[in-house]
Amino acid sequence: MSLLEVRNLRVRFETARGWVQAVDSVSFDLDAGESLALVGESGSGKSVTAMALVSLLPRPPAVIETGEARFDGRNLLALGERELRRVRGREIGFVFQDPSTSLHPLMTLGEQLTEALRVHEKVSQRVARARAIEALAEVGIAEPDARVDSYPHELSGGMRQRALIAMALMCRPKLLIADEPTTALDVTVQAQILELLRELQRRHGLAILLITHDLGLVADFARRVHVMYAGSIVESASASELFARPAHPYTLGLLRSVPTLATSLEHPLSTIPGSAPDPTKSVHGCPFRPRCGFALASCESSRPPLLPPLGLQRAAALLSAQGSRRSACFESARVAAEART
Amino acid sequence: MSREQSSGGGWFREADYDLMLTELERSAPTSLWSEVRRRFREQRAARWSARLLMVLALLAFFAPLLPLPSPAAMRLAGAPHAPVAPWSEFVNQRYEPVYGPLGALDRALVATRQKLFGKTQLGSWLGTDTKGRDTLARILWGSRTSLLVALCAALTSLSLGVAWGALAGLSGGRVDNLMMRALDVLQSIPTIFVVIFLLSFLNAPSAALGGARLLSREQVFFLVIGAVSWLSMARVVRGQVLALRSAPYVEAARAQGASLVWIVRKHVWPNVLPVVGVYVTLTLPAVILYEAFLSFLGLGVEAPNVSWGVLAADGAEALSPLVSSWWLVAAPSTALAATLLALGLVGDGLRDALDLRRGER
Amino acid sequence: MSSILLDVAGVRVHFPERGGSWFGPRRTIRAVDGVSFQLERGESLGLVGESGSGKSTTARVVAGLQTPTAGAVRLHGQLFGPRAPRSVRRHVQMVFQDPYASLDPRRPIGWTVEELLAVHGLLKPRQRRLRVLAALDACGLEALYVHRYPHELSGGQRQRVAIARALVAEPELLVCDEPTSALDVSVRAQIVNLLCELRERFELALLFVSHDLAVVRRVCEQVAVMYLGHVVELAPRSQLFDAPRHPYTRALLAAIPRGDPEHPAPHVALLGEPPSPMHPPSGCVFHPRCPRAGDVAGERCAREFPKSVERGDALVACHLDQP
Repeated sequence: MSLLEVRNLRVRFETARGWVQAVDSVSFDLDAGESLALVGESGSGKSVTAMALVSLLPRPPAVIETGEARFDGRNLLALGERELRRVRGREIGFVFQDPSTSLHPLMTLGEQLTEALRVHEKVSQRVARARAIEALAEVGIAEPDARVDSYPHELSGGMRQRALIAMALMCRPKLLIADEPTTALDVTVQAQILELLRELQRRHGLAILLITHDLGLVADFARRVHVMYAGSIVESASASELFARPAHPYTLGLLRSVPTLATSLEHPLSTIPGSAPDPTKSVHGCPFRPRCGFALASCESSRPPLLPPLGLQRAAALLSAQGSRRSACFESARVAAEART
Repeated sequence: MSREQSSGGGWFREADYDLMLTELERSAPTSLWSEVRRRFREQRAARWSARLLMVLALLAFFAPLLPLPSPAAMRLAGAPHAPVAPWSEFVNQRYEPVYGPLGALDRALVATRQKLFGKTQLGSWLGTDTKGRDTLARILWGSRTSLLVALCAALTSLSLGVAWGALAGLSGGRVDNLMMRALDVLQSIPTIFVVIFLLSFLNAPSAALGGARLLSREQVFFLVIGAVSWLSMARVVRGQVLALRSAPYVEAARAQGASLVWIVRKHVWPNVLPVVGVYVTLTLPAVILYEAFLSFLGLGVEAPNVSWGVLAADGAEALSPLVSSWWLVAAPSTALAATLLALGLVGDGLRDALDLRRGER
Repeated sequence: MSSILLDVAGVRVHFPERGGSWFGPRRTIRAVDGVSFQLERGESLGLVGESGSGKSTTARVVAGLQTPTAGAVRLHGQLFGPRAPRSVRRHVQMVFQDPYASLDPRRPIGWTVEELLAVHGLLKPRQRRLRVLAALDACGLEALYVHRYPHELSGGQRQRVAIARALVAEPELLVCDEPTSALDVSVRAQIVNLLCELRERFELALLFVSHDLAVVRRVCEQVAVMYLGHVVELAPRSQLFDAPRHPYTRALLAAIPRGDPEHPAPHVALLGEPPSPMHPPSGCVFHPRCPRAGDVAGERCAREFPKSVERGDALVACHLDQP
């Protein structure tokens, strides 16, 4: 059984200009110890999805319309505030984007680290402090027994992010939600933090839900990838499949438009024309159609469902969860069907 | 050499766009101000509050012209008189002109009133006070004090406050520091004591002037209100100017070689103005309340003049367990509360209307 | 007359520490500590580095927004800076990182783009408006945008406006400070392509600041790698990316995610983080993190700052790479 099962999650926001469908029928599974990435641009609904899972969205303006999120057998979306608080921090840890604002500036690291522990497991101050030092050491902070008494401003950006990870791991959660954990960091530090996350995952069998806009990061880190566009998942595949043979035109466009050190300089970068759709305007059909180079007539009238491309539908691939790739695109389904015949 | 290509160009073929420009100039752009006005009108509470304030201001200004009893005319027998419903006595013929010292304009207005309405006056719909003076008339005449105070505060904070803040924010460094410390000093003086001091010092008949007062009580009062009201406006403007000075779009203008005068005129001023507008609507209720408070304590307006604070003080005095003249407290306080609320709502509406990003996300 | 357009010679920018203690000694932040490079007409130079490397401050000095503490910036041999005459400043224009904040929210796009021409009193009013339309068109924006306000535009469109604004008076040098890093991935490529195209079309010299090496590789022929206020390596694109010489350049290149799950990047390329520019290390500023500093010239690295020496087409500042 999966650790986290999200089914048909729909979230919308009330704004002055009307309703915005931020998350539209999102479903995914995350096994224990697995790493999963939600990739998308700003406004794609990737962060909202994660926040909705643990009810961290301000309500109002957010409304969770439908959906189910089974975590360890319980439906997170049906839990009361008290039960949720027990889950948050204890069974699900968080790391947010900006390490400088996620830490309390007037509390020492030790105080902040032990806070969660003392809320969730009634342990003595001494034990909590020892656990805090241990956690700091584990995330690679030098001289943890001295650092435990420092304030956030005495640390560098990378150190703060390490401290945040230590904080998220204090109660030994089964799932870590990392929302753009390296975006605010420098390239060399970014590599260190990623390595740390990988190491922790190996050591503790931690499941990680990585939320990012950076495809390069995904390739290095996640086993399974869900690409989000305008609130829904448009493609879902294993990382290697996604990068080798993207099935959705949006994924293809994204992969091509990111310059790497290997791409040829002969031609201009290929781009996705236009920009993301206005979220307040509801669309018929495929939300990517106005920017898509492959659009068919059917793309306009109805929204393509997230289905396995028929061409890859080998029995073995269907049976194993790892190989089940899906894409929400009529054109890729058509091409795949052609390739099969 | 390329430096000589300067403005004459060669990069762009402007001629290609001639038709397009002609076309564009025909379609008038929506001006930002009309958009702000539209957004303000969309808000019902703010719109009605603005109308209420407008009516109040007009009533206050034209109070001498209205067929009201004169605010100082007493009817001691049986006072205080309870409110009389308009339908039982709409008007009566008991008008007698008893006014305090009036200005030229007010004298003319009163004369016109006498010509227009003669002895006719409205019944005492809101009752009378312990000396038999009509409450409605006194509230409307009292509102003139509030209006005057508000005007005085608005003018000083708009002139002195904005100028001081803008100067401090623009010069920065030591000058800014000095100007702000001066504000700190002014703000740290307890105003009540200043009022008492000034009243006893300036208001006392001085021997050197042959018994004449240096400043009338009213003048002292307005001086203090004016002196107090611009301080926070100066702070707000300075903060805004400082923020704008380092705003990336001001940097962008600087990078283009724009002069300081240009930047202030084209970028800083238009972006400070909305903040000033909103802040004035926040200052006014505070000042009106302050006036009422000082008058309530007997430090403000003096009989025979009236203000809402004086009325509330009189009403509170008249309260006793035996005779309940509730209207004497309720009427002026309702007028005060309604005005303050309306000002607050207008301020909120203005702020929302000026925030361009609101409603975009 | 030489073909050198921009000459940056030994520029230093030191800031007094802000919010430090009132009484103790005022420390200085050495944001830029001796940077020199030259740019010819139509040439493009990328400045890369991590936060605190001084790349943005260098860009601000070149754009005339910041007076250097020492050293000089010359445009066509003439001293250039905040006090340079307006007619000279016009030739250098800048595009900022955040397209949301760099446009005045209360001015329509047309006004913003026209501003520069109005400031300098160039052209007649109708000619100016025509020029605005032409500049917007060159940046891929339709004419109807002149009546729009910034909040009605997407991030990519706003950055196009910012570029149009910079180009409207036909500058010789365009300074771009992280012009793509606030944009979404799919829009980033559009702006990168636009800059490349405009550069070619107008023979524009470009100083391009970015932390994204892959983007710099696309846009710039020359690349300067900065670390803690110093240029540690300056080389033509092909040489820098194919045969990096400075250990820091190598580490930077190695740290970039490959975007290929089959061949992930070698994991940790560098330990630690850049030290604060308030107390830079002695000697070579990179030596505490340098994987090779211990090897041979270890003691020398900690003692003296390496001079930039020519190695092939490149300028490298490293004791371990001396002829």
